[in-house]
Amino acid sequence: MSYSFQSISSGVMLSSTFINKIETNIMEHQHGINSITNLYGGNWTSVVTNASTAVAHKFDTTETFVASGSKLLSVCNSGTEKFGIYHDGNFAMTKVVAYSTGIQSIADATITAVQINTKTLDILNEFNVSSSIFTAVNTGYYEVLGKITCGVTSTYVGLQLWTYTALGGDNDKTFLRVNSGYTSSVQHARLWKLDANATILLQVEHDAGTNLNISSMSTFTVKRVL
Amino acid sequence: MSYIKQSFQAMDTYVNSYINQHEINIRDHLHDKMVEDDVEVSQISRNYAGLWKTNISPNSTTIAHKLDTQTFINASSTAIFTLCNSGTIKFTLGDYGLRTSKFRGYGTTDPGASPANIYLTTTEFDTLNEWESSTTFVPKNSGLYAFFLNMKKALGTANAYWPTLQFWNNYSSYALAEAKTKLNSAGIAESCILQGQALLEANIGYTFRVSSYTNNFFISAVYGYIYRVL
Repeated sequence: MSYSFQSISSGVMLSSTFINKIETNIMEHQHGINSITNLYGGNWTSVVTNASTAVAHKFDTTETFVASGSKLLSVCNSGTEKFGIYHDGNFAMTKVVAYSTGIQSIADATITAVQINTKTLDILNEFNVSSSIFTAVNTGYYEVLGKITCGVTSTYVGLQLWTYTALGGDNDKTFLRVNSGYTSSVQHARLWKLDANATILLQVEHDAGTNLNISSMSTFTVKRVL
Repeated sequence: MSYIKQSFQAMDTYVNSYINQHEINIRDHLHDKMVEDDVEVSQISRNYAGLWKTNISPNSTTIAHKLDTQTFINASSTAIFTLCNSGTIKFTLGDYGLRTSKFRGYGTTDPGASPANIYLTTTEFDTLNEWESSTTFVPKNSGLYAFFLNMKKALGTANAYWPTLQFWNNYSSYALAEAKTKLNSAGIAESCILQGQALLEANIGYTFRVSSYTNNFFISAVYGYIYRVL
């Protein structure tokens, strides 16, 4: 490695040996290297001594980060973030919590989308409350859960998570008998490896022979499995 | 000759003296040049004291510390970021997330008379290759794991039964979790579901089982998944 400057203010010429010596001195003494964007070989070895409270590598800030959206850490793959931590310690990864607010009437023997029209958490803005569709921003592993509560009657109610990609959701739907005074909720869960832009929709079907009401507070949650 | 040698010695003395006397200034100057030139520090393997502190001012889009790479596309073997304990990897971030246990499989095999192991013969993914012999999960690391199993009764099978699904510790022979569900006799598929979390030990086998079960009715499909909770 060599640096372009060769003279200090007095005009003294420095050899590359001296410059290397200075550089080593700087690295060893950990002088502040503010604002540097280093391209480096990727290997940092901490010399912190083992102890009950030892931290090998610590990243800190001078100012307190409180701005919404600001991050303490971002790990990227050629510019695309793969792992991030917000100022409050939350991971910058998929977390969706959504639910329905009204009674929905489901026609007999008809696979129908559950209308999930309200969300309380959506870190990456991946859930559309108008369409009730979740669209993954990133490729990764996701655990998806859905739950509905029925106006109880004696019938069979099925719940499935449907994706419009090649991974069909109907091969593992949950089908339970809903009886008056007994079971009234049906839930379904799945762990998926989703590609970016894959979509998921919670669907319900039944064979009551007539319309079946499902209550408000049907829930839909998604979390990225790390 | 002597004059030249003395001259070099004098220069060497002067430079060393200069460096010693103006060490801070030289460091600052070099630092400024590194900042200006966006210095390439390739192949560095530095021992350091462990602390990076940024003085960047935060706003809504600020990132305090950013680590980036050239494009890594071989997700199964490349690592964007690893944390090690004296050479032993404890945490690896690949292109699809952390390289930790994530398994999902399914099957259609009826397990036969109770109690019986559940067969998940088709593996959709198994990031650490921990699913063995279609029945057994052998974690490579101890920790908290989440698991889920859905067993469907075959269409049209008669009679009502109350099978119990279990997540079973093979080494100690006990159930870490179980769920009992009534299956009815009507002609439509129904499901038994087991969902839970448990502390698992590395290198011990765990199986999904069904007990209190007779093969008068048949399992049409079953799927399950397990992943490590971080």
